[in-house]
Amino acid sequence: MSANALLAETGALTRFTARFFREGFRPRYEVPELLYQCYVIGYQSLPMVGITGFIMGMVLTLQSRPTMAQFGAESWIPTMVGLTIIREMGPIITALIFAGKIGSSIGAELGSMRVTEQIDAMEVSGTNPFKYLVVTRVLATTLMLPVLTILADAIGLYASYVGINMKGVTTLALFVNNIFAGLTFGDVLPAVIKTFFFGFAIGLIGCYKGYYSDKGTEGVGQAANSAVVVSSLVVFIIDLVAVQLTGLLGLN
Amino acid sequence: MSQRTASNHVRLGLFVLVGLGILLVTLFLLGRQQNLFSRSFLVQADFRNVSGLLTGNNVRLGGIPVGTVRKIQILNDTTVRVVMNLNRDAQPFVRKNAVAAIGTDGLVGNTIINLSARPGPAPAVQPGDVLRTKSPVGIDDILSTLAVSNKNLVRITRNMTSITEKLNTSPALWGLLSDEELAANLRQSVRNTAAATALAQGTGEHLHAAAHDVKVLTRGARQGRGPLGYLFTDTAFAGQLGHAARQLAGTSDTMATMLNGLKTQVRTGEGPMSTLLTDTTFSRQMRQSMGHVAQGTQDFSQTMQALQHNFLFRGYFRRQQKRQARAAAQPEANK
Repeated sequence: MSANALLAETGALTRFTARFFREGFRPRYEVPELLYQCYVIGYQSLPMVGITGFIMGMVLTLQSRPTMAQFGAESWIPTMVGLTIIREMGPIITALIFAGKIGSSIGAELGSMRVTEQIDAMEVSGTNPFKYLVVTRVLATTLMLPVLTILADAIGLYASYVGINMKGVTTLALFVNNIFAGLTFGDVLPAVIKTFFFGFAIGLIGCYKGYYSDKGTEGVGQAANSAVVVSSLVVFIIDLVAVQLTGLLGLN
Repeated sequence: MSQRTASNHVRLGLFVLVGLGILLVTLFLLGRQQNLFSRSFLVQADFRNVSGLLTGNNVRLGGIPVGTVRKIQILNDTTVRVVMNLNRDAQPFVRKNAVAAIGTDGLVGNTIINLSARPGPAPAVQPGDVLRTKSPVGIDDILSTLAVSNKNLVRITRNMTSITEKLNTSPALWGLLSDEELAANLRQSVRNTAAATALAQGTGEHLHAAAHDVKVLTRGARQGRGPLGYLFTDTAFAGQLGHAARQLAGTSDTMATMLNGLKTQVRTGEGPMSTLLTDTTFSRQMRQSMGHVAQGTQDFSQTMQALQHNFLFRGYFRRQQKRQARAAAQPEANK
C-alpha cells in the first residue's frame, strides 16, 4: 500500500468518523436496534472474552511465580498480577479478542449487505442505512467493550486466585486486600477510559471497511480481514497514546 | 429478527449491571482505602527529610492505617511540612504528644508515616495541630557505620588470627599446659598463699591494736593531757619559743656580720688581726711574754698568800670569814 493510498484511506476514515458524529446525535434514534446490537456484540462475546481472561490470569500467575519465588516475593504475586491485568493486559487482550470477533463480523456483515445491495435498498426505501447500521454498531462496541473488559479483569483475577492456590494457599479476602493495597484510582480510571476508545475504534473501522467494500464476495472477505488487522493496529496505537497521556497527567 | 425477545434484554441488562457493579465496587473500595468517603481532619508535621514520601501514602498508628498524606510542601531549606488527612475515627487515639516518623512498608515498599504514642497523658489531637517528629534512621547512615565496624572487625579478626597462631605454635605454652608437676606446684603455692594470708590476717590484727593505741595517744594529746599535750596546747610556750628563735636569728645575723668583717680583714692583710695571725716572731714573743706573765702571777699569788698571814691584814680576813658563815646560816633560819 503506497503512502498516497494510506493517506487517502485515513482521510476517508476521518470523514466517516465525522459523519458518524453528525448522524449519531440527530434524532431519530434507533434504540431497539442499539439494544439488539449491544446484546449481540456484548453479551454474546462474553464467553469468548471470559475464557481468554481466565486463561490470561492463570497463565500470568503461573508464569510469574518462579521468577517471583526467586526473589522470595511470592506474596507480591497478587499485587503484581492485579496491576498487570487491570492496567494493561485486561484492556488490550480483551480489545484484541473483541476486534477479532466483532470487527470481522461487522465487516463481513456490512460488506455482504453492501455487495448484495441491501444498503442501497434501504436508502431507496427511506431508511437511513448509516443511522440504522453504522451508528448502532459503533455505539454498541463503544459501550460494550468497557463492560467486557471489567468482566474479563474480574474473571482473570479470579483465575489468578485459583492459580495461586494451585501451588500455595491464600484466602480470597487476603488476595483481594493485596490487590486493592496496590491499586489507586490512577491505575483503574485510565484503564477503563481507554477501553471506550478501543471499542469505538474497533466498531468504526469494522463498519467503515464493510460499508465501503466492493468487488463482490471477494470484497466481503477482504473487508472482514482488513477490519481485524487495522482495528488491532489502531488499538495498539491508542494504547500508546493513552499511556503517554496518563503519564502527562501524572497518573502513572 | 426472532432473537429480539425480552429474555435477551434481561441478559443484556444483567451483563451490563454486573460489569458496572464490579467497576463501582472497585472504585468504592479504592476510595474507602484513600479515605475519600469518611470524615477526616488535617494535622501537620515538620520533617527534615521525608525520604521520598508521596501524596497519598499511608499514615499508620501502631501499624494500622489511619489516614493518608494530603500535601507535602517545602517550608525552607531544612523543613518539609507534611499535611496528613487523618480519619475521624482515629482522633481519640492520636494524642497531642504522638511522634511522627518516616518509615517504609517492608524493605522495598512504599514510604509511610508512622505515628507512635509516647508515655504520659495528653489530650487528643485537634485539627491543625503540628505533631512532633523523629528523624528517620537512614539506610545510608547505617551502612556508613557498618562499614567502619566491618573494617574494625577485619582488623580484630586478623589480630585474633595472629594471636591464635602464636599461641598454637608456642611450645612453652603447650609445655606449661601439659606439665602435671606445675599443676601440683601451683596447688601448693595456692595453699601457701592461703596460709600466708591467714598469717597476714593475724599481723593485721596486731597492726589494728597498735593503731588503736596511737589513736588513744593522739586523742590525749589533742585534749591537752600529758607533757605532749601541754606542749601542744600551751600558747605562751609557743610565743616564747618564737621569741627565742627570733633572738637566735638576730644573734646569728650579728655573728655573721662580724665574721664577714673579720674575713675581709684577714683577706686584705690590713689591721691588727692579720698581724696577729701571720707574724710568727710576734707569736713567739707573745708566747714568751705569756710565760713571763704566768711566772709573774705565780709570784704575785705567793706574795699575796704571805700578805694574808701578815699581822696588818689578819684581822680583816677573820671578820670576813665570820660574816660569810652568818650569811650561810641566815637562809636556813628563814625556811
